[in-house]
Amino acid sequence: MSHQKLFKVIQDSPLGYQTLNQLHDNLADIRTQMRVEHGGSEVWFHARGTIAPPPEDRLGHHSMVEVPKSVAQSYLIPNFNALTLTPAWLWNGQGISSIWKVSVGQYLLSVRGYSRFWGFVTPLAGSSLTYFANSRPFYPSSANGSNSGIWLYLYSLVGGDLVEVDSSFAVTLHGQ
Amino acid sequence: MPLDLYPGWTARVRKDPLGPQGFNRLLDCFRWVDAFMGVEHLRSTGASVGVIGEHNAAEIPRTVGSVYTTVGPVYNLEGFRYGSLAGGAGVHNPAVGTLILTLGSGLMLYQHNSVQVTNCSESGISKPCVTQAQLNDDTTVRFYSKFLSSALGAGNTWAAEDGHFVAAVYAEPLPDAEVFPGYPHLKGEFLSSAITDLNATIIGSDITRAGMLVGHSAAGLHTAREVARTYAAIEFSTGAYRLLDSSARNVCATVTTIGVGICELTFTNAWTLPAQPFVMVDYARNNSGAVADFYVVCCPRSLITTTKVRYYIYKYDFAALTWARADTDFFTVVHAG
Repeated sequence: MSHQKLFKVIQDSPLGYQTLNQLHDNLADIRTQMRVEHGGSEVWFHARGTIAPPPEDRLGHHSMVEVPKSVAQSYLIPNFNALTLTPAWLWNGQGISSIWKVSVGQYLLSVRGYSRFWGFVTPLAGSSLTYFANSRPFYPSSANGSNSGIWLYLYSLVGGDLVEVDSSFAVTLHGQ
Repeated sequence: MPLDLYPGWTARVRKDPLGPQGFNRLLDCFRWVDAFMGVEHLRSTGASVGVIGEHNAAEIPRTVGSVYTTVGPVYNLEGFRYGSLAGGAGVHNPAVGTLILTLGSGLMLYQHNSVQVTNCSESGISKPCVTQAQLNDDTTVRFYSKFLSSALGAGNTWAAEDGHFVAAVYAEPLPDAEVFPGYPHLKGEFLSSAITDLNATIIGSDITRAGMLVGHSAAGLHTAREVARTYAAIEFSTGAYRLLDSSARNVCATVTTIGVGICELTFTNAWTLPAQPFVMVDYARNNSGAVADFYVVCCPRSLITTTKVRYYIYKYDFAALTWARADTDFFTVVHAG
């Protein structure tokens, strides 16, 4: 069932069964190869006993741990008095159930559906301040309790020290 | 076990009827394959600025590459899609440490507003370095690179620096259009319709296969730089670094402890161009660490090859307000050409 180049036909060309079989084999070959590193489940039934396949198994989605499961953005939006900023979040993809601002510069990204995960956080900011960011995953089995999420820490260089600050940022979630 | 609704095909043999129902089944198969491709890949030209087969999902970078400097400094690009900018035509360096990267138009970068950056300055061998990013519009991304100008253990002053870095820029998925030539199903007609005839299906399947081969090998393995080649979870334990986990696709060979806060990851496969590593520290398995510990990880470009990446890890001392080299667990994802 490998791909074979087919010739185009012209009027009154004889069309045999082998041509149609090969045309299907060409389609099936694409399907087979694409399923190597992409999910292949499209129905709401799954062998794990869940009613839906896990995200990486969904039809056409990339199924490897190297591809982020989700990408989230945090924006600082001015309040009506324009004196304070409130973060707002958007995210695409799977695995993030919520994002919380815990305190200034500290955010919690709660994760579901993965036993091992991590996030890569990047401050999105201009040149006036120097920003630093770290993220730390917490797993259900860790000694840190039953948390299942990622802490995000944002610091800025203020007066020779690193001080927690709010900033816009992007974070990618990887998981397996 | 993955289940799908692929229609399938019963292979025909000599003297089997080749009626419209059989051909309709082929159309159904093609429609399924076309839809499969379209979940996270562009399928057609003309619908957007992308090319057939390009990855097209919010979670997959629109482009990944390296930005590096040569004497001058002259900024250069390596590996970025929309690479007509190779040679530095798409970069502008208005101030020390500031780099404006201009990509192709119509990429919808600003709506997505997501970038990953790893500082790869040579200064990272001896000092922590960082790069932050800012998206200004749909075509340009600004990067600001800085390094610790104080000595390690003696201050916390930072200065702008023209240095190397690697970046992954994400974008909103681009508009797409299906390749599927269309219905209605045949009911007994001759195969002469422009949209349903055999040639249209043959051409369509060829387009779809060509699209697959843009970012994947004939065996279905990813070859596009936008999809990372490998990943590793690296643990520091009992005085040495070790691989806790690594990619099933491209297994990492070894991690070597070079010194305090320095380790080197060796790949099993050699890439064709130097890699683009992205790094994030871990906490859960670092038993000696605390939540408040704060690290910066650098990957100097001269120590990134087609087979290896070296990591330099620095930890901030919140009491002394200084930096020192230190060990920690971390994750890394590596893109490559």
